[in-house]
Amino acid sequence: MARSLLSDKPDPTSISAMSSSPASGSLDREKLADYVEAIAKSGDRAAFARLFAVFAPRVKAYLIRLGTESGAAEELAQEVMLTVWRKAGTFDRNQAAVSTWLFTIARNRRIDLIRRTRRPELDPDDPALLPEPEVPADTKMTVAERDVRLREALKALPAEQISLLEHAFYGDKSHSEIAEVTGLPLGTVKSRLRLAFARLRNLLDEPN
Amino acid sequence: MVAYHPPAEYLCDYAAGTACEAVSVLIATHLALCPQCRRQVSALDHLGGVMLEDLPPASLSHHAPELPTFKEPADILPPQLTANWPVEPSIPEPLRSYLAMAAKPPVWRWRLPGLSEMAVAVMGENRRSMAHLMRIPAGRAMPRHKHFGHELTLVLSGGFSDETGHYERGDIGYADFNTDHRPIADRGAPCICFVVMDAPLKLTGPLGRMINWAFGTSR
Repeated sequence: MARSLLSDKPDPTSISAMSSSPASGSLDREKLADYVEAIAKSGDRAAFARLFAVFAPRVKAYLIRLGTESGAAEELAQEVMLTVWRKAGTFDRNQAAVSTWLFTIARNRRIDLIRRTRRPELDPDDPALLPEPEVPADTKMTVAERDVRLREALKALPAEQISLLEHAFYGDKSHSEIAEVTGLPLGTVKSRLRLAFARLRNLLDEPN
Repeated sequence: MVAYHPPAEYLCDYAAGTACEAVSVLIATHLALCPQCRRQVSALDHLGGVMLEDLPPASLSHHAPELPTFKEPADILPPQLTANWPVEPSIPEPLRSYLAMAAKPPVWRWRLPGLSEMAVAVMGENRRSMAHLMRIPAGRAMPRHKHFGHELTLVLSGGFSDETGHYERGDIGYADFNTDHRPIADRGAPCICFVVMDAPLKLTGPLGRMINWAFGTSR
C-alpha cells in the first residue's frame, strides 16, 4: 500500500498537501466538463483523448494505491475510461465535478470486480425514495464553490484526522481495519473520523 | 424527517468503498430515505474526486482503448434482474432487490418472545456480519439485551423506543458494547427493521438469561 502515510516526512501527494499540489493546479475543471459534454453531444473523439490523457494515468495510480497490481490497474483504468465514453450523457456538471464522477466510476467498478456483484446503491427512480427538499437556487452552492470550500476545509484539518481519511480513501481500509493497522483504539478512530466529518460538513452545508 | 443518522465513520466507509456489502446495503437504503445523508455522501465523493485529481499520474504502457464506433444512449437501463419473490414496495432499493432476488423465499422465523427474524442474503465483513430483517409486534417489547459487537438498525416501518430515543422509518439506531437496552415497538403497527451486526447479541434480563441458558447460545 501507499508509502509513509503516517510518517513525519511531508508527502507531496497527501491529502493535506492537495490544495498546493501542482497536479491540481494544472486541471481546468470547466474544460474537463466541456470535454464530457462534447462526447455526449457529438461523440467527440478528440475530447475523449484529452480526458483520457488527464484521467487514465490518475485512475491507474489510484487503483495501484489500493493494492491493485500494475497491469490489472491499467486494464481497469481503460475500462473506466470506456465507461466515460459510453455514459457521458449521464454526467451533469451542475451536480458534480468530472473528477468526482470518475472517482465514483472507478470505485464502483473495482468493487463490482472484487465482489462479482453490483455495488449496492440507491435507485434515484425508486418510488420509495424521499425526494430532496426544494432549495432556493440562490442559496445553493455551485460545484466550483464546493470545491474551493472542500480544499480549504482539508487544509484546516489536524494531521491526525487527515491521516485517517488517507487510510480510508488511499488505503482501502474500513474504520475498523484502520484501528487494526494503526493500533489506535477503535473509539479513537471513530471519534477522529466524526470530528473530521463534522468540520467538512459544516463548511459544505453553509451557504455563503 | 429522519432524526437519527448513521455514525460518520460508516458514511466514510461507504463513500471510500471500504464498507462491507451488508453495511453498504443498509447505508444505501438509508440514503433513499434521507436527503441530508445523501448530501453528506456526495461531499465525501467530492473528496474522493479531489484525491484523484491530486494523485501523481502513473505511467501507462498502452494507448487509449479502441473506441466502439457507436455510443450507447445514456438512457439504456442496466438489465432488469427478475424478482423471484414479491416484496413490500415501501421497502426502498437496494434492500428491496436483495429480498426479491434471494434464492429462497424470505420467511419470518420466530426467534424469541416479541421477535421474529428474516435472513437477508448479503455478505458481511470477513463473513462475520449478520444481516436480517427484524419484526417486533405492535406495542411489544424485545427482551433486554446487550451487544458484543456493533449493530446498525434501520427502521423500515412502524417505530420503536429504547433508552436512547424514539426511532421511526428511515432512522438508524446504533448499538455497541456499551448498549444494554430494551426496545419497545410503537402501538398500532409492527416495527420492521433491517439489522446488520458483527456479533450476536446477548440477553441480559431475567427471562433472557433463562433463554440464553436454554438455547445454549446467545440468541
